[in-house]
Amino acid sequence: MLAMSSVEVLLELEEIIGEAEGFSHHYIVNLFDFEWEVAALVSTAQPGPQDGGPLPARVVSWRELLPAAARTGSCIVAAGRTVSGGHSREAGMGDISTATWTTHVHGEATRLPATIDGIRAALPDSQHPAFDLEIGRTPAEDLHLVLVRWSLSTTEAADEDSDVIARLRRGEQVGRPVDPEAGVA
Amino acid sequence: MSGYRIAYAPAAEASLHAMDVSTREAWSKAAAVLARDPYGAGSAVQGDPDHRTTVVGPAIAVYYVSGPGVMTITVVRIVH
Repeated sequence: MLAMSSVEVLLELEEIIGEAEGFSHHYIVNLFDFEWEVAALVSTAQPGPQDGGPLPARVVSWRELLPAAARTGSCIVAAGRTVSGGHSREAGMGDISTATWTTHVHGEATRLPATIDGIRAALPDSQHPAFDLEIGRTPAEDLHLVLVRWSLSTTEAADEDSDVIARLRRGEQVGRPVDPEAGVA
Repeated sequence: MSGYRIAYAPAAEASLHAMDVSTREAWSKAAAVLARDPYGAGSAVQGDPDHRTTVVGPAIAVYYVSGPGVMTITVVRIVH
């Protein structure tokens, strides 16, 4: 949830980003026209699309913009869809953590909690004992892989993946195989 | 010779195409390594021996290995 109005956020973004390479005032205005939530892509990547195309690789909430700008010295404004669906879980986490992963669920970029506390908060209470037990017993070197599985279980990604895995087990082909040495699709 | 070919399920392909150039290049290099040994590379079993999770460059991948006669790794999901 944005605690500031869009106009206030826009003014802050303009002040922070200023002369950053690739920055476009017109671009930001368009984001608000489309009722998108402001986010920031902290990288040397190009700005995201103006018309709802694929989202950039690493989206962070506007709340992370200030420290990110201080750390990297440059920010490029991109866009994230207005918080809804799986994102509401993140809103429910309160101040537990803002660290997130990104994946795509049914074609939409979706943020996932990426801390133990954040994932636990996103799980139903009934799953807390099993989560605590597994995390407590997992070797540190495997912890991130186990956490990803639990984090994905808080979204529809788990069901989407189960369907794909079931098809693959039946011997179906999913996607078009390519030689990785020849590049990716 | 890589050993295995790599395919992308729709969700993984969407994440792949959303990567910036440098992230995608890092992914591609790591995916080529994975293709040589999908059962190793620090991967963890997720359900059955062919359904696995591992770190692939800048991301974590969930994938399925289809063996003899197919020799394909299908990346089911990318998280980063």
